[in-house]
Amino acid sequence: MSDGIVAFEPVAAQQESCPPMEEPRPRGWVAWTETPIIGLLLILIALFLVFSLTAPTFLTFRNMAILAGSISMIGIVAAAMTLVIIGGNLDLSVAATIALTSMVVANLLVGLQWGELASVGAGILVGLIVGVLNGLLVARLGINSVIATLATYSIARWGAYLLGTKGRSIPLGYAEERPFFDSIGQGNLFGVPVPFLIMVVILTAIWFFLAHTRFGREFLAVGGNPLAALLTGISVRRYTFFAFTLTGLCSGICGVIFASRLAGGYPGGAMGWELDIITAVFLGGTSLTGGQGSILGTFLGVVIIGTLRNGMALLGIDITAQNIATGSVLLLAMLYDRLRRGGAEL
Amino acid sequence: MSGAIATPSGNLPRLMMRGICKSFPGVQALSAVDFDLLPGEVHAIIGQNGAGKTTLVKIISGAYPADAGQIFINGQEVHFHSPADARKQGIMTVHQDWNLFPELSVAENIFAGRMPVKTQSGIIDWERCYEEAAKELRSLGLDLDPRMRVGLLRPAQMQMVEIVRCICANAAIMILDEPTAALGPHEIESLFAMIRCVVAGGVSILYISHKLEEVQEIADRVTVLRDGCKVGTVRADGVSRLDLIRMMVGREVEAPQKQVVVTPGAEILRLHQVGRGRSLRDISFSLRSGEILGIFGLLGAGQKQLIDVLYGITPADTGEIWVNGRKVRIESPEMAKRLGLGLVPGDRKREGLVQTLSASANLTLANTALISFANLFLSPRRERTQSWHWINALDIRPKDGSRLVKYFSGGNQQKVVLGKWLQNNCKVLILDHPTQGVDVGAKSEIYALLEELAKANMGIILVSTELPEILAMSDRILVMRNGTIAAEIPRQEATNERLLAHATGEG
Repeated sequence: MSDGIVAFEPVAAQQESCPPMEEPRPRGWVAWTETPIIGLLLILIALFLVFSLTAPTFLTFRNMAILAGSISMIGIVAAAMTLVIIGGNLDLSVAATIALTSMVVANLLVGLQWGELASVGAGILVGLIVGVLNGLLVARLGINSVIATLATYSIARWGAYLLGTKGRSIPLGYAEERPFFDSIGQGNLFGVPVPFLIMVVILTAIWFFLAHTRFGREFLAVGGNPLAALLTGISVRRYTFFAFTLTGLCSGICGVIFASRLAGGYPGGAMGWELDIITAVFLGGTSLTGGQGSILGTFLGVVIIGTLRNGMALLGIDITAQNIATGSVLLLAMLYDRLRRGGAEL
Repeated sequence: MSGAIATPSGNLPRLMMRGICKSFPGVQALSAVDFDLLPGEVHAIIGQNGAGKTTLVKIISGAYPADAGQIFINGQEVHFHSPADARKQGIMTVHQDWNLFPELSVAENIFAGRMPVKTQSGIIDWERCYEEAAKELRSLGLDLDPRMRVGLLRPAQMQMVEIVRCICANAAIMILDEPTAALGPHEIESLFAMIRCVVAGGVSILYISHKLEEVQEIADRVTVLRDGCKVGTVRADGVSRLDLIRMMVGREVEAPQKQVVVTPGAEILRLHQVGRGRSLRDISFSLRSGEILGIFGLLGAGQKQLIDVLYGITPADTGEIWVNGRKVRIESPEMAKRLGLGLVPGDRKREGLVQTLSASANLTLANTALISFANLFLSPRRERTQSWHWINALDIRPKDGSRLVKYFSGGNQQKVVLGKWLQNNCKVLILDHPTQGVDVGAKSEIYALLEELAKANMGIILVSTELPEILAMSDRILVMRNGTIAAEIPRQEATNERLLAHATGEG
């Protein structure tokens, strides 16, 4: 072999041996690795099978109505929490806000004898205020969302205890007729529980916002890469503030439903719900690294968590074991997510 | 491919790869690539973005397994399952983003994980640690205090510390991935001096770069990849730059052409004694529509701070800014956008694109109102028309806007970032190193595009540390040094020497 050029072959000859670049795969077909929906549906079917075989009362119309009502409270908040998590944040104050709202509503109705509409409005306003506060702390002051909402969690929870004399709950009693208020949590419309309908409306609205409005598009950009979004002239702060405010608002709505369903204000109510809510969102495939999330996934996550709790309650499994099961579900969901994304090394 | 791979001296290659294939979903990243690395040689790998350089390097360093093919180290076949396996064989990578510990000293970084300890007590022998570090640094011609905190070093020095660290960890093969990306001309010289020193000690270096002049200066041999295939391996001194470019693109490419000089229009941007903190002082200049204003300076001369002030990322604390004859205060990128400014940032992946969104979503992100009706609801039809228009106008490939933007090559990603601002119809476009990490073909397309935009009366501010680019493109050049403007030079009077003299303060 001569010195100088070592292996310089004609370009044309080389090109033939190059395989053509593959065309992108046809659209419409989604691999299982790209969406968690298929996995979630399989889990849900499995849960329904197990519970309907082991608990005779599970697959009854009555129990399904109970299930629909109970998941709707989690679902309303989880819908908004999806936005918070897409933005790369967490909101730990939601359950405490629900309890605080229920106490405010009960106080106004029983203690101050306010009208139904005014009490409900004030309750929702309380949630909104907590949300605005969270939004200011995280978006304006730049405090880490876990720390900020841990603070508002404490304030809301202990505020709720302050509202009841010596920290007691406030039962509404049945002396008075409150048709509007009672129907919010306990009513049925066309045979479907009202809270479930409220949840469907909120889920749909947030789905529509994300998928079909330009602000939803900008929101996804903020979640996917806040720096790039900022440099594209999108106000990252405004969208972060919006997500927390909306979550506060939804917690307020949920608090009113809670007060209506349980006919009273409970300072220790909704204890630990933030975990169920966050678990449901993660289960639905929304990741904390931001930018990706699915409202349909969140809905399925909520149904799975709700079914799990409902079924275990029917089987007489106590709340402690239920909580352990929920934690395990979150772990399994994360594991599945790692496998799906091909990042797991076991 | 001719059967035996010739080696200039005939000795056994330290690293030998045969028939390496690797595919990713939808892309054949490498097909049947052969590669040899001799002891004590600098072997450059060049190719356009998407040619397979990164994939090949990742296979060598054990980050990816190959689908097919064999790897031999000193004649022994090896199988890497992880980067740790490759490290055990002495293959070390010096990354673009240096993985040093900024809070620790130079010596601690060099000996990280292998600190010399006193034999009896097992505690760290600091004296010996600093002594040996100093010795290693000296032997490679580096004048650095081993007690210095790494975070205080300049980027070039950090990179050299990392190289020393690899040497001390008994590296036999060192991979340098775009090592000069963040370095100024003098720093590149000292890096090259160090590389020659390292190679003289018998270490083999695999050098990846976009800059052909550097490759020709430092490398012994050059391997060119194109579309996942090896085009050939040539001696660096036996081939012209044009030949290399031909091998890379497979078609003729024009070097940046001197543009037609356009007569600039009205003044659209003026800065008067603008400053921020101590890093940016007394900046005054104006920009006319249809003009390309080059801003040249060595790295860290204040260009970054100037961009931040112009674009409202960190607003100015002194001075005045006029846009279209109106005095303004630019307090946020949002406000800058509303004033008609656009920014193509220096770090495409981190600052320019939302990787979780599609190319068309990225293209239309700066002005989502244009793809909506009632100023609120997204219109898929308008999004398709808008993005299709820019995909064609900018020749973005593949022509599939629904594909996630992260699956596009560097040059095409850069076109997406550019397209975003064209879609928003911006009046002043600020570009920060627009061709960094972009292949030769896309580079000349971007240059041509900038000329088109200037002709269409856009005002362009081109910030770059690359002299040829600044010289070829600018109508007027501002040279920055120490956070202020050292000189303003019209294009007729601009030369390499003059710009460098002003940038280094010898003018």
